[in-house]
Amino acid sequence: MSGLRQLLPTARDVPAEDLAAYAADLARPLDLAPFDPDVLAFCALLGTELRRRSAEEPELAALAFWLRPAALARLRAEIEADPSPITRVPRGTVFAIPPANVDTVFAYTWLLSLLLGNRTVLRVPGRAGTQLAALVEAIRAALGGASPRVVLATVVVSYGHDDDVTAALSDACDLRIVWGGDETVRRLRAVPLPASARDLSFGNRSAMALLVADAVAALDPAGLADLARKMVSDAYPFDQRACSSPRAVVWCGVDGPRLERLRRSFWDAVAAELVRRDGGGSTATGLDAIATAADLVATRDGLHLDAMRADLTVVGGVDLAGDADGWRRAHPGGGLFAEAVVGDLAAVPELIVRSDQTLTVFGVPDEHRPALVDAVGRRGIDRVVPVGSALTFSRYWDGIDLLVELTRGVHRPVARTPQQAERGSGAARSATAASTAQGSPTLS
Amino acid sequence: MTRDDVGAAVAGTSVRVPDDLFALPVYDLPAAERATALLAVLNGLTDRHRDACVEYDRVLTASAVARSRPAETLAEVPWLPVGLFKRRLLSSVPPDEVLRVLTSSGTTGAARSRIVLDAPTAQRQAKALAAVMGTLLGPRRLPLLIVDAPSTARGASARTAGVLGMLPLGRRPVFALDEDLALRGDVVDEFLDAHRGQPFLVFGFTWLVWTRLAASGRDFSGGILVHGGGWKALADQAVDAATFADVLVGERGFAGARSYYGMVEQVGGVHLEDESGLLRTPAFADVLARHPRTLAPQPLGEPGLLQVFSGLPTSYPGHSLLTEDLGVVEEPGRFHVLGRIPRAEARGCSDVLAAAA
Repeated sequence: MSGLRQLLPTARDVPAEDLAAYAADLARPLDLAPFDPDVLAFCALLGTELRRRSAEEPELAALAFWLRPAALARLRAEIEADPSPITRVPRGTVFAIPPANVDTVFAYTWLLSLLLGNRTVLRVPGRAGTQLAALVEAIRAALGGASPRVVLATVVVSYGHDDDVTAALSDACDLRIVWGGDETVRRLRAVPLPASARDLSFGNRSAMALLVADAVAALDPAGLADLARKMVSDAYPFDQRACSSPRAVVWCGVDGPRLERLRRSFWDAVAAELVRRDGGGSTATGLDAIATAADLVATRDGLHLDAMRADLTVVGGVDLAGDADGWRRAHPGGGLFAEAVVGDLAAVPELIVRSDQTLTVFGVPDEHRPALVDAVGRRGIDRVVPVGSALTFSRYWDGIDLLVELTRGVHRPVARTPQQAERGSGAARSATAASTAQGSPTLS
Repeated sequence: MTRDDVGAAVAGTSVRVPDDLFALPVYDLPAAERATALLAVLNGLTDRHRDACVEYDRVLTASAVARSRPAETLAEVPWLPVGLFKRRLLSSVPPDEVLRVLTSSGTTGAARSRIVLDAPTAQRQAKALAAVMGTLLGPRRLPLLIVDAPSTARGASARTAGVLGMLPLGRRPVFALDEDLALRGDVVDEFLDAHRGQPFLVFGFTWLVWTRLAASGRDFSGGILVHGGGWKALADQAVDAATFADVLVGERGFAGARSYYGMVEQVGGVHLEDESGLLRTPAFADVLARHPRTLAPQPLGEPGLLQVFSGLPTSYPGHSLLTEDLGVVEEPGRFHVLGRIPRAEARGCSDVLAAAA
């Protein structure tokens, strides 16, 4: 077994023989409460450091925006307004193994974890990308001005593939969060965890966009440009490799020549937006995308290939249902989109598979949304959001509430008054009437 | 052939199939006539591969490439991304006609290209190499020192293709490296003692030549060095073309050093450096630069993704390929290569990437 390298709060090497003691230290509880003032003060400092670095790493700006004071206050209010008979306390020590270089995913989770009073131990791979390096630097700078109570709460470590090190750190945690492909998740979950700890895992997920044809057709050029801008904001960060990056476009309610005109003007608008941004992503990934697309269309007849640019390749006629064409499996990012067509909203759920996470939508009438959400949700979708919001982080992720997972709920049923206790022992027949009359909280 | 014959051959209907291209002068044909001749062959190959390789036909059909409309310019010739050959074996000949399957020398873990050769296509590759090298070496077969191991000649990689291609061009070829790729000093000394001062040929991949010969301390006077395989490995050690020449010509005494550009994915694409330092396209091949984002053809002098053409491959659809190399076409038929497009660090949740992390 090898040791590890600690990057935060200070840089130091921990040799293998010291790992058990190191991990035991990590298990010790902190005395931070959810939304501790010292943590909020640190978040303000961090926002400044992130904004300072966002010219080189634009995705840091979104993170800074997310942790602005007003947003955190709203989050706090949401939790405190929860009527459940539960007092939320920190989970304890959280051990997180984020995905390769979709660094903001780990950042949001770490931030939530910190806000809720946990100590978070984050493992980053040996070769950190530039975005991660910038993030770690920003955190380090902000920790410089933070209270010692907060400094202890964030630990970033780096080590190669070593299940023994993972086991040592897992021993110290109350919650282990793993992101990755299904194989990675399987492998990491097999590393033992103490009986009192829980595993939370996010495997391979995928995303697509649903465009209602009538709504797109009704857009004027400015509106279409805006839709294209939102589509590009959703799909192009992280080279289209994030779980929530839309990799397919589903047209609803159009076909034939009308579809052809609509899709042409839509993709032309997307290409124009890419030109405007002058930077859709890496050419190398774009060439991978074209090669992947060519490989798919070589397998059967009936597909269309439109390599419009190195960073924009569209494949039409893809069979998304049951991932029959393997679209989700082989996707390399790089601005590659499958196109599918359905006659109406009722046909959309058929295209969804369990690994689909995010459905971005445009033009779905309000009255049809609840049914759509229910139908696609049952097939696998965990979030239905407007086009433009695919990458927006939320406490609700992959069908779970991170706020709940990152805390423990201490159950404290509300005590009965003596009168309630008396009536309650009488019979259930008067319980409803009594509680309604009294306006008292429900006994649980 | 007289010049008139050549003109007639080109302008008329006689350049149609790959082997016709060998009747043309390797370099001296005027650009317009070269283009006409090559285009005729390329269009023929597009149709031929559509008939023989169903996967290729599907890609072109999916890309709305009409059979009825042949390309009128090089830029209109449909292309395949070179990465497709890493994902799929594309063959235009039945299995019993396959002579050899070449593989690219990929980095560990990465998929390798697989290229199907039949006997005619392999022969054309040999003829192409002989034709191009002949312009440098003349008609004689020179003593040949190969900076590689004997086993390379028996493999199936790009280095194998290069070595096998050069063997027939030399006289009594000698392999300079042992199976561990270490310099066989005694063998090299014996070769040099026998041939020093008179013309002899040394061939090898650029990084092997640099790492094994540059610091060898030996005198290669009279030798002509031909090397290829790219500068990337040397770029990592901060060795550029100028440094390479300084050492190998200036210090090691080579009479001349010429690089060549080619790839295992394209039989016939043998582009040899000329005296001015630019790579020249032979009559049976050509290049085009495309904008790295829009993929539109770049004007001369503008860097872009290199698309390579060859009128020679009939066993697999490799006559028009978009590579992952950046280069500049300075004038028709003359270009230089800037290097591989940069590959950013892998991102995302997939297992393949996690394994690489």
